[in-house]
Amino acid sequence: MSDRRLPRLLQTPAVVLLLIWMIVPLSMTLFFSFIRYVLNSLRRPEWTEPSLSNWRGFGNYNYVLNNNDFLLAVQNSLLIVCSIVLLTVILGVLIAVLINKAFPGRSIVRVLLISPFFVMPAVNAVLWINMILDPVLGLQGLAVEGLNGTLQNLRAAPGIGWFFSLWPELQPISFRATQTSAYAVIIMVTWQWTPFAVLIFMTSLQSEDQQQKEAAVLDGAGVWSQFRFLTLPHLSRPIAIVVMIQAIFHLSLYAEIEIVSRGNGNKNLPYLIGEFANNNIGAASATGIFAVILANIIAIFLLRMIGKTLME
Amino acid sequence: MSGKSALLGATALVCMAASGAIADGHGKELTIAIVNNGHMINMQKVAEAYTEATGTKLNWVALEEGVLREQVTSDTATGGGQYDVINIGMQEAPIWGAAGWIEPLNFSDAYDVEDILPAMRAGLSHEGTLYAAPFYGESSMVMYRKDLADAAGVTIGDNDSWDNVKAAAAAMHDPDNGVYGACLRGKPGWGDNAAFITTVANSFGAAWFDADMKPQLDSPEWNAAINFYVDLLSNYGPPGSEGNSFNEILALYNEDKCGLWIDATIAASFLENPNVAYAQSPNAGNPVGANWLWAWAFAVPAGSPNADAAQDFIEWATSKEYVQAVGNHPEFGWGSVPTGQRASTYDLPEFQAAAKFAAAEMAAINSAAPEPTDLKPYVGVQFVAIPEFPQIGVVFGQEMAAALTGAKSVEDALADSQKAADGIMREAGYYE
Amino acid sequence: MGIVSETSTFTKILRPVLAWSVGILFFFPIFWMVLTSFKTDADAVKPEFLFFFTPTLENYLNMTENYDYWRFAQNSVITSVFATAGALAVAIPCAYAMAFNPSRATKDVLMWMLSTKMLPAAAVLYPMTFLTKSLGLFDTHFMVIIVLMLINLPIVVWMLFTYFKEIPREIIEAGQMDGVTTWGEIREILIPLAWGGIASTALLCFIFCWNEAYWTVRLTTTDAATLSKLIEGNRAPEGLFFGRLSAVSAAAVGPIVVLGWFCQKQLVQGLTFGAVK
Repeated sequence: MSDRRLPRLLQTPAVVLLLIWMIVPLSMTLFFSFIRYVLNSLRRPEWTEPSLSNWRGFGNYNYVLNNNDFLLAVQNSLLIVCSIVLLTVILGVLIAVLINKAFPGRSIVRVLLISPFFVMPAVNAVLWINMILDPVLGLQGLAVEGLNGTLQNLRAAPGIGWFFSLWPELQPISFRATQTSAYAVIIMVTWQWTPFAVLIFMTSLQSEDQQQKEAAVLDGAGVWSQFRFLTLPHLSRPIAIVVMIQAIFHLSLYAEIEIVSRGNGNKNLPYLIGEFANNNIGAASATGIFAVILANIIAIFLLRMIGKTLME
Repeated sequence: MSGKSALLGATALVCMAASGAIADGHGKELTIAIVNNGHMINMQKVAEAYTEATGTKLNWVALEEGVLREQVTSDTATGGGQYDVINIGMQEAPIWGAAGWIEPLNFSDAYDVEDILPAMRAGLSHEGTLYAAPFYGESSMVMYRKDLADAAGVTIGDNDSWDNVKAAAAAMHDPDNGVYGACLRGKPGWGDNAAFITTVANSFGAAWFDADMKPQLDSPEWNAAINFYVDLLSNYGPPGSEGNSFNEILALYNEDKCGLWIDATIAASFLENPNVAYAQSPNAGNPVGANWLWAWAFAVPAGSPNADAAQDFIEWATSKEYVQAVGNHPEFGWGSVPTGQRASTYDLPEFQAAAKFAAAEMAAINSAAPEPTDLKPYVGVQFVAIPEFPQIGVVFGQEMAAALTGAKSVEDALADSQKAADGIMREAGYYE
Repeated sequence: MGIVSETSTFTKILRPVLAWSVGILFFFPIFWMVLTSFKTDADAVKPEFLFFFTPTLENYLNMTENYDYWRFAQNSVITSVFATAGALAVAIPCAYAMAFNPSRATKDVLMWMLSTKMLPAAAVLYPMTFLTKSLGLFDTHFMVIIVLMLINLPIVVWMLFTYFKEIPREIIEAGQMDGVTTWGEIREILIPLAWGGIASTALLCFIFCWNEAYWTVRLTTTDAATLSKLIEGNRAPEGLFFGRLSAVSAAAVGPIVVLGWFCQKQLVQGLTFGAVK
């Protein structure tokens, strides 16, 4: 047996690099979160230097916690991540099962399906919010206008007109509104990441034990029970992977929030940090520390839930 | 400084050579950060002649407004050096000048500083020193569809009353045929809906702060102004107004979907429908009209290694010669010259012929007062020239969008804005 | 496969119809973007030109004329390639050690690595700007490569770890018996065996690098600016912009989408061997 120390040492470059990548900015953030530090101040120019003499203890944390937007941002962070994960997993499983069997043009459909995953987040957001979801000039607006026009014509039609006059006219939905902007983000990110889930589930399904499945069919198992008792358990590990990777990516969503509504109604923690960082670095840093804590809570939670499946 | 330098000490030893190499070496080269607006894009072509004449190579970095501001701020606040010329607005210029982030500008006599419109000069200076030179400037005015107004039997006069404007919007409003009475900014942002709403509030006699810099958003004037704005836009505006700013409304207007539009004077040069009329912004009986004042200006950040070349470039880009260069350029012509910066531009017959909105724009700019007045104790019209304003304006903008969509009542939105603004001002040490 | 119950006409017709609909639905926004990129800005918002219009190359010509598209593209390629290579170079030994010589801490280390990716970038914008500038690395390819590499390192390590774990230990240990050095083991045995997994990991990493838009925008000015910066400059210019924006977007995502299409089989095959088997 060769020496085991060398192989262990092979981990060190990666670990050390990531440690530096984490520790240096994090410790600076931690330091800034305990001092008064603003970029520009006409009243208190001394606060523009990050120095120990500007120490203010938990003042920044206090200020952030008392901010109306803080709780909202935490809620939105969770709402957005959880909804996207849930939707992509459900859609991903359904689509993967759908295209798992051969049919004419399967490879083309696969290409079409996977494409959204390669699109840049900023492109995704401007594309959806301007050209598709816009209530007047986007496809949504045009579709609503067209349908309402058809409805008008039908109402004027003799004989059946009374029937259509019972139908309400459609109202376009504004996806930049306070009430809806989080859903716009969820829709566009789900569009982008469902292909990823499909990709992972699809490859997993290909290694499913077909003999077992055929045996089950002979035993009289229906489509549903096949899915429930054979396919789903088989997918548990890929599902864990999809959940994990997406939680990692979507906790730090930024461009989509900015482009949809500038944080109105969909503000998450990273975006709140960005708003503070306009001038008040102390508050931005304190919010950053809260975001780190949230991330760690989620990481521990995920580890509890799916860590075992994930690491085996 | 101690914490900063301690952390740096460990790492700064590495790679010092790299930083030196970029600074000098290959002659004169300027890195210029610009917003991606039409005039700026044209400038990149016009400036080819400047490069030929002076040998100064120009690197353009075009960015979205918010990202530009963020990047220029983070660069300047960390000592500068990445950009030689930056595109900033009227909100930043006096503050950054005061903070020593940007260099004072000194121009040759031929430049004729006096020709720059007084309102622009005032807004871009700090304590009498000019810190940024206007590339183009704008105010706001009413633009409306003459044909629709005539058909509805309404008119909008200069400095008309808000009630009359609302009546005109109501008369032109015809959603079944895809025409909405009033298209106004609703997209959150201190430079977007907050800018427009502030001008409405000004005309209602409201102000952001009192003499002690305490926020006044809970005043009855604000309440009246916001109620009016929300009422006007939610009744006679297009669906999704909370997502509309300049670009979105321009698209709507050019699709003939808007009756009237109150926005930047620069919009007039983009309008396609020939049936357009202009009017000076409305007011509610106060001497301050509801029109703003803004300039996209050039400044030299402190720490630029090429400050002299940068000043030279700015002198060229904001000169009378530049206006001539654009007007005589085969690709652009007099309809594309930057406006709102120099009085002499408006005297040019070629320009007057090409720009029908020139007189209205000039009048709007001249009637805006950035300096403190009886009604407001601070510098700025649709913003306040203090470093904390963008943060306040961002929160305010979101609250207003929430009020517009009905997610909150006007009263709640204003109360929450007041609370946030008070918190920010307290944090910033204006008062205990 | 599929000898039983899969022959009913119902599934024969419904499955392809449904699958094609879903595929077209998902692809439609991209198709729409490309279609719009051939319209003028004014036509792009006109309902009468929804599908039938006079196509123009104006937007693409404008883009290459007004912006140095090829420089942005070149920077994207350079930074993504080197960041991916760098990440693999660091991650392969690391994943090897974790898979074949695990300690009790291995899983915690892996989890910790993944959790570093959850840190919000916005919180450390100023420290990072400050550090890169004092190191003289602002707007250099080197810095962008390092940052992209570090951002993606956790996922790369983890994916490789799952692939490597699938390789029977005996094969590696046989090599050790024969007195092959550790490096030899990695080069001669591990990499050939896990080639599919490594390739699909590299592909994913490359996509993430290409699409990264926080640091590539904020740590560059001109020299190292990538396509995401081109997008940032064009996503909301003054005036009408759907046509222009679509062209820039299509040109920015085009290369990676096409690469994705070509490597799709590879990606699927690679994934099959590893984590998701």
